[in-house]
Amino acid sequence: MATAEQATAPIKVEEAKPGIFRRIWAGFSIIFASKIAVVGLAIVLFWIIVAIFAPLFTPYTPLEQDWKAPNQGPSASHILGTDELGRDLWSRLIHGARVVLVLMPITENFWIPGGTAIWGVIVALIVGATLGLMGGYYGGWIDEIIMRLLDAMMAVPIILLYMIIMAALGASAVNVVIAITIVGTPGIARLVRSLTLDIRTREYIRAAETRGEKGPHHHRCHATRGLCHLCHGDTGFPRPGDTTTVSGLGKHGGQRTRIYSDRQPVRCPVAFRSYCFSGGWAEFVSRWLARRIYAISVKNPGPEDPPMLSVLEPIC
Amino acid sequence: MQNSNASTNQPVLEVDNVQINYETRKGDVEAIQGVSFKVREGETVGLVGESGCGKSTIAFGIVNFLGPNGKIVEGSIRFQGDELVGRSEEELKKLRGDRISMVFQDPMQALNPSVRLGEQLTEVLTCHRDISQEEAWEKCIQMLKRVNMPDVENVMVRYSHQISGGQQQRVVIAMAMLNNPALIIMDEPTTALDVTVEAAVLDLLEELKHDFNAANIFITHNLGVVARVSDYLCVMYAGQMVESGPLTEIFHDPRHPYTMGLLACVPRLGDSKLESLLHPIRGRVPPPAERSKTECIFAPRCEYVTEDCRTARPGFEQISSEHVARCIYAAEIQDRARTKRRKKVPEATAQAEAPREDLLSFEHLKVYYPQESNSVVSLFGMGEKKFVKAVDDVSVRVAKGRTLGIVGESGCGKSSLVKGLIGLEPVTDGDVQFMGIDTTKPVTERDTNLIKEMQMVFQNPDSTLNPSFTVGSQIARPIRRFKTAPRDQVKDEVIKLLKAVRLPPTFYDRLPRQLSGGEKQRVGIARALASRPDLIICDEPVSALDVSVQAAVINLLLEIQQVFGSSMIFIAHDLSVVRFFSDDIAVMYLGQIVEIGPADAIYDPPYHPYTEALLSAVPIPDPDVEQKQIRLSGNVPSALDPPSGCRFHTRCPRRQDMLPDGGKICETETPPWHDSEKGHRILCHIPLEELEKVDPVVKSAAA
Repeated sequence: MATAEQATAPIKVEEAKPGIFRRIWAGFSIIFASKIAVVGLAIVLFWIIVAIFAPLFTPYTPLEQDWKAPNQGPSASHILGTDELGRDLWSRLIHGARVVLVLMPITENFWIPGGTAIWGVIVALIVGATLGLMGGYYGGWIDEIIMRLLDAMMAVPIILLYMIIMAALGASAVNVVIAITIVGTPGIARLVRSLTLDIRTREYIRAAETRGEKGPHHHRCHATRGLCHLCHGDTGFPRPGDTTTVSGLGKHGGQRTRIYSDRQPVRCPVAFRSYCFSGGWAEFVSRWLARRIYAISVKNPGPEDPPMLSVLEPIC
Repeated sequence: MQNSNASTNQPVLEVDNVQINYETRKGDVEAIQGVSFKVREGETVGLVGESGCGKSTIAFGIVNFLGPNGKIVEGSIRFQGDELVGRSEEELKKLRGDRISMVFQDPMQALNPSVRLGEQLTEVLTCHRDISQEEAWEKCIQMLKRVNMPDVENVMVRYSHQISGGQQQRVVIAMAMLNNPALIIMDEPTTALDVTVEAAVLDLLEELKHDFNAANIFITHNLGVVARVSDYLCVMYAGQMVESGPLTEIFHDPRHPYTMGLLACVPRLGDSKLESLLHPIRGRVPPPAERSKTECIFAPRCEYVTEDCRTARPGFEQISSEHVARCIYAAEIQDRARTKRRKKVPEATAQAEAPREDLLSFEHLKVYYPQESNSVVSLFGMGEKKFVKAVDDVSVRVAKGRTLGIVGESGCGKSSLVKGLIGLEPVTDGDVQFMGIDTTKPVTERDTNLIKEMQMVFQNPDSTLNPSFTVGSQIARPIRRFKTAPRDQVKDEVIKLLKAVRLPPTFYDRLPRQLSGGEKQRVGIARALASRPDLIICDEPVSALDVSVQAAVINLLLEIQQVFGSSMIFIAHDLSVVRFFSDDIAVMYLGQIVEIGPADAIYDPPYHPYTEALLSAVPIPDPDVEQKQIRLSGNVPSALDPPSGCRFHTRCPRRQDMLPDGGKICETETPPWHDSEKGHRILCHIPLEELEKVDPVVKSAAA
């Protein structure tokens, strides 16, 4: 008996496996099919490029103070205006973006690639996924202990948690990463746990069991691969959020003090507000827009389209 | 069935040459094209076809409920003479639920779980007409009584999860009938129900059709169901209506190759692999974007295709006054020679009569699931432990090379039984011997050599494969694990297996999401075959597949059994499929086997009363067959606390008149096994001689 499927599709002798670039391009073509995703991509790319080439986009350094021009609105010489010390906000914005997205200082002289937000998400993902996977897979007491600890962490308001962490650890880029990790872990762990619980009952896991696949190794191998797929969608989410967090932390005195060594005490939100009114609105609006659009394009890939996460599939 | 004056009536609904498109990012996709039919009062039009043929799209299109991206681009839909296409949402809202109502597939999702049923029902009335709450309540009670709902007053104040699936569907039907609509659209209303419940719901629909004289549209993929309820049939294929006509005419004299194919690929009840063959339709339904606009849409799968078919899309050919088919050869199709050869279909050979060696035997097998009680005492581990007795004292032997079919309604424990055998669920008690080795231990404690001899094929094609591994690596995994091939020949072995399940070697690098349901199921079978097992357990391997693909998979399993000589345990809820595929059949009810024996013996008297009821409920794809109407009352009792004596006594339709004093004995004493000839056994108090006097369930009109 020959089967149905075979007869219609003439068998091609050798299907050439498309190269890695082809596959990446095919992945990105999904983005170009959606206008909203293209806008999101453009905004994200804009920030990345500006961050990489920050010194080329501004004549000022972020620390340069102009006592004659504090708290100015946008003008030709300062496109976003200046802060109360007369520093150029555009310059500070793009140099800040650099720390958030492109480079991260470990010490004053040792910088590693990848910004604080990126490292924060990666570490949070690793820690969160490990905890969630253990909780979801083993269940029982292990699950109870992990999840109740994470619940306890989630009970503290995020902004308070950040401030506690920053106050306890002191301000540095590494500590910002630690803060993002601590705050981001519970959410990721809960997501991964629920996915693990779902996948654990799938028939392919049962099939692995009927093969007598022993030890958690094989199951984890199965489960993790499935999870990877589903996690792509989520890793996008914390990133815009954390970008704002980092800039927030920076403004609260955390990161900026170290990085630009203008040792200021932790500022209260009142100062933050004055900053917004003085001209920081531009940053705020653009950040907000970028985050919205990015989030929307990841979240709603539109009817009938494969979810956005397949963009990342060829890469991993 | 047909109302004599109905045919002269003005049709309630006229659908004329409708085309529906969906907007997608890749442009408009044609979902439905060239669909025309009429529905008259008191008449049921059945829409049949495989999934993806656009049946539901038509249903939603009639009330223009297509979502933001769907639109009717051509044609007209006239309801009681008024055009529906182009009406505003407001006007349509008034019609929906009032003059036109719908019944959906899953009653659990059609009812709001957080609102009492009574409120949901009355809302239908108060929303559409000026009626007081009390009056509406009264009307709802009457309607629920009309749909044979027991204990109506009580049901009105309950929530949907507190009544059974069949009762839920009755509530949904009552809700649809409340406003006395002119048109009822039913989208797979019985697909989610068990076969015995389905039969009762179909009976009800038939009754209501006569009482209310509404026009009905009945959408289903099941030819048996459609044969039971429809007067008029429209066969859909890939968004086109390919054939339509009176029911009996289409069943007796199908003129479109697709209709002919559909009828040839489902086994009739009582067909066996020894005497009849299933002919699957090659290929699969093309997705909307790949449908050719310049040739007959069915041409790639057609067995009669010629060059003329590829020049243009064919129009309707008139066959009789009401029978049309969309095929240029419709008038002469029966006499035409096939241009493509039919696939060679494996012919099963009869098994040797000599008693064979037992491969697997289990005695008094029990699989219990502990149930946590909510009481405070049990919190401290002191309360009485309760068990769900999923499998309770079951003994079966499976001989080498034979197939054991297990049938029963959902919740009867058939899946738990095989999971216990393969070691996925712990066996509570009993003795299991597989090739003479004790196999009561869970799979993690079993020897690798034992594990490799017993493999399983799963039900759901979408979850049976890991979405992130390629097909090749998933089949290679068991080969590596059980070392059935040397390390360097694993890939060759995988390709050999792919060929064995009729998939091209290029599938090696594919990911599961690139495969269709049938193809995934084949990969699942190949994976189970990889360790060359002696026993393959198939847990509903075809129930999630379309009929044409189902036939192909059944044929594949038959072929594999002949080539590899493996024994199989085949679980399905479709009695025709089980009958076709199995040598022996066990009928399960509430964790126990009530009847077991060779397949042909089960389907003829003597029957166990439960088997008899099951058989009479099976929808048969043949309008001429006469079936006995035996309907079980009540629900399947809880396995937590099964009835005393005979477990079936609460629903048994036979004990009242076939046993002295109305079958009191059934309530107290466990029934004995009656052995008839050829190893056929029945668990019942009614003596075998009495059971033999029962008429066969299925009578063909020709006989």
